[in-house]
Amino acid sequence: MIIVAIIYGILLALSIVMYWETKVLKDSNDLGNSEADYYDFADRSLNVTARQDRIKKPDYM
Amino acid sequence: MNNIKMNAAGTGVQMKCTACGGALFFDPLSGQMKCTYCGRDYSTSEVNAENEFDTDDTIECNVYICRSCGAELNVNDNECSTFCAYCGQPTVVFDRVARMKKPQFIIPFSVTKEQAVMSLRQKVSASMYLPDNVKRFTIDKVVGIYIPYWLYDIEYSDSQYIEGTIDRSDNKTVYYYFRAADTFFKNITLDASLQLDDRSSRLLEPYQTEQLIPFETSYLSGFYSDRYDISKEDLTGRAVERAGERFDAALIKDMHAADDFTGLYVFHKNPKYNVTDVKYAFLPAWFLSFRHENKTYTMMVNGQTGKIVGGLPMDMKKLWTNIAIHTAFLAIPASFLFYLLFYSIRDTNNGYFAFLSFPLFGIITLLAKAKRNLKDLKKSQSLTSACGLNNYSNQR
Repeated sequence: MIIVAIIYGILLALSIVMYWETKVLKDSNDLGNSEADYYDFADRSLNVTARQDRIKKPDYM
Repeated sequence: MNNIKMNAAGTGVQMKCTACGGALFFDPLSGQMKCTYCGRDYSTSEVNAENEFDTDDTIECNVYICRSCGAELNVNDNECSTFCAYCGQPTVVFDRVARMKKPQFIIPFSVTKEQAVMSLRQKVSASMYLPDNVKRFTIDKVVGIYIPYWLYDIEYSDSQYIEGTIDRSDNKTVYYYFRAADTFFKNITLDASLQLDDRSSRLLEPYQTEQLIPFETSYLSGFYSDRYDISKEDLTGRAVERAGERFDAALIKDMHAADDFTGLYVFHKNPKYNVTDVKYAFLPAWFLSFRHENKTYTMMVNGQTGKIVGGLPMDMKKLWTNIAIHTAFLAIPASFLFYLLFYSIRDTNNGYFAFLSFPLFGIITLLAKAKRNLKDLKKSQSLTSACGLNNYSNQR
């Protein structure tokens, strides 16, 4: 039981530390990437012209 | 106004201050033309009014070719290019004098070279895992380049049937929804240069396109520019694709206001679009190159907003040392906790095995995320290294 606990302890510690350290590494060395997906158009807002909620399942489905 | 001289001399447009004979360059800080010697300022309109080469829809430039990455660069003054602004290699050769299509609009540089370098230094000094010699890096080359962009105005509408799943305490229900909407996208930006990787240019965005102004040749003075080599027709499909992505995201946001969904699936859509206008514009970016272990890294800075893009080199030895030390410290209390937990459930056979599998799932997930972080960084490094640009160039 002690050996299993030690193995699990090492594995959990290693995975937490690796995740945390690589996150720190990415945040500091991968410049500009955090905003990659937030592409912002100079658009006007969406004009919803028809809105039907909880309707019957369409026939062609 | 009469003391401004314009001449072509067969090698492109040169703007001179006749008060001292010095060359005029566009100054991002003042937004005016500045004499490099006496410091006298001229407004850009004042300079352009005298520009006899600025009458048709083309401008004259010197074209340089990089033998390393294949990039074509245009220099609009009488200065010579001695290295490639994209890959940082000193392998550029003068190719020809050519005329390039004049853009309709431009966003002039508002970030100076000094500000771009200082921003990068601040980012670098905050980095934990940078090799020591890179922390004290000297920038080899700093070049301001106007990147060619097509800007699309698109009217977009769609009607969608969406399947929404609501999951509440063991009660999973599927409902159906219909939405029809329209919108107008103004100035969807797509870079028109084959040389610059699309991912890099997209990371440089957003540009604040409300600051676009009509093009004047004088804004190019002191900077390089790239010519478009992808036509607006070839990029229309991608512009519409981006409009569709943005539209879908906005519609899904509207859907979330209707119900508390755990899953949404668009199973039918009928998009319609109309490209109402396409503009050709030059948008500014600084390219800063430095060398590390015989490899050139080129970082990019948005010349309007100052946003920095690129993958810095990393010190793997420092990373693994930190991981080993922190793991050793954390493993002791973690092992002790596991021992206490295993001891407390030692008599329940089923619970014991469930407890063994649960942490394994967490461990594998965290390791996969760590691998993903490293992969993302290496991808960014390859995009901003000369090697990556070479690979891209070879694909042309």
